[in-house]
Amino acid sequence: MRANCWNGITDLRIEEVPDPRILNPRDVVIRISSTAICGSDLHLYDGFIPTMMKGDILGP
Amino acid sequence: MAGHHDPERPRFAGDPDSAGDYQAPAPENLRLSYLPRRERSFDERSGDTLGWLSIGLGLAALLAPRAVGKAIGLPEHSGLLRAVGAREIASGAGLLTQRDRTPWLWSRVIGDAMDLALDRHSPSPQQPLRGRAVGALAVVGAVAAIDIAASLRQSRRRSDGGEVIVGGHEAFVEQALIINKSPQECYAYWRDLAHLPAFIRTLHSITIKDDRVSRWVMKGPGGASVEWDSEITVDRPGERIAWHSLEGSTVTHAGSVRFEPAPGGRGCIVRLLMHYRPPMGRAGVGLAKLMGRDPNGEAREDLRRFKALIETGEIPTTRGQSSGQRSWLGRLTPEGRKSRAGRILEERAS
Repeated sequence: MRANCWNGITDLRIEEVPDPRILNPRDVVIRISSTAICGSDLHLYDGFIPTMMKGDILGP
Repeated sequence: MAGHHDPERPRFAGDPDSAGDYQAPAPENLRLSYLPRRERSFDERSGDTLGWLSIGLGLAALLAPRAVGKAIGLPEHSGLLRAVGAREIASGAGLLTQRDRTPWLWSRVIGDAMDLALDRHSPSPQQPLRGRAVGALAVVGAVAAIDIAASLRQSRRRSDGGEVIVGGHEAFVEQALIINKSPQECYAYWRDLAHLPAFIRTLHSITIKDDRVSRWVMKGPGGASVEWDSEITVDRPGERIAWHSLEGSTVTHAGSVRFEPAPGGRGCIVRLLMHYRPPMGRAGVGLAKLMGRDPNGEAREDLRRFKALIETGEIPTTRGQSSGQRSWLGRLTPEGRKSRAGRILEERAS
């Protein structure tokens, strides 16, 4: 699937990533039609969260 | 809403509808914040004093080096005194702000030694100033003696595992959290000690020996590992569990957890109190290596995981979920390794 990936400060890219799988009995896999980031993601986008790693998927 | 009398509504102090009804909670139920703060020990206070002394002397030397120089018999050495002042301020700042005070106390000792060396070589030939230099020598010598005593006391306590230890090598933990289960359910979950390693991160495993005694194995983020036997001392179903490590354990550890009904009969307040003292002997592992730098934060996260576990049956995490391409550094961390989904896809493709 494609996903919105954090690749660095102010560097977001749509990348091809492995499909999500059911890991726990109560997990759900949902198909989404579009994605974006919201105001709370701006802290991640601007690099204020030190535990962000390249490749982290933002949003759903 | 003022004027609306509803007997089911939880009461609080100052509630206009319950004037006269409100009863202060019994002393044993008071919030921990009402209790007096732990008194600072002699070592902690003397460390504070030395810290402020350092900062005071350092500021004087930094801001008025000529006046200080005249006072101690080194009138020509403004630059040197400024440097000494800066060093003193650094020592003082370290002493007052850092949890582990030992290296900063020893830095003061080294600074005093440097000062003594400087004073001995003061070149002033005049008599009055020479007298001042000797006086300064005496004062620095006395301060050095105090610093050495404090450092030795500090270091010795670290190896003894004695009483209150300056420098964060003893941990007091007090945390509370409200959980949407009854006190009886929370008690039952906690009393089954096999559940504890699921939410207490530093606890690697518990082996139950009998009704009261169990063996705890703790593994810290620094890779250090400590084991000890723990005994349950208080066991009141639905109310309280208290435990402590047995005599002769490498780590002195005591703790208690209290389960109180939350206001309005909605849930349970879990109050966790824990106290650790480091292992005996210089070869023992430092508590910071075991607990990380923030025992209270660790305990808070432990309680949050307990809440997630008892309310939902699982601890939410993003581990194992999909991710984009990791950096080479990221691939070294546990979070960065290929997600389970990715591994499954790779296996299918090959």
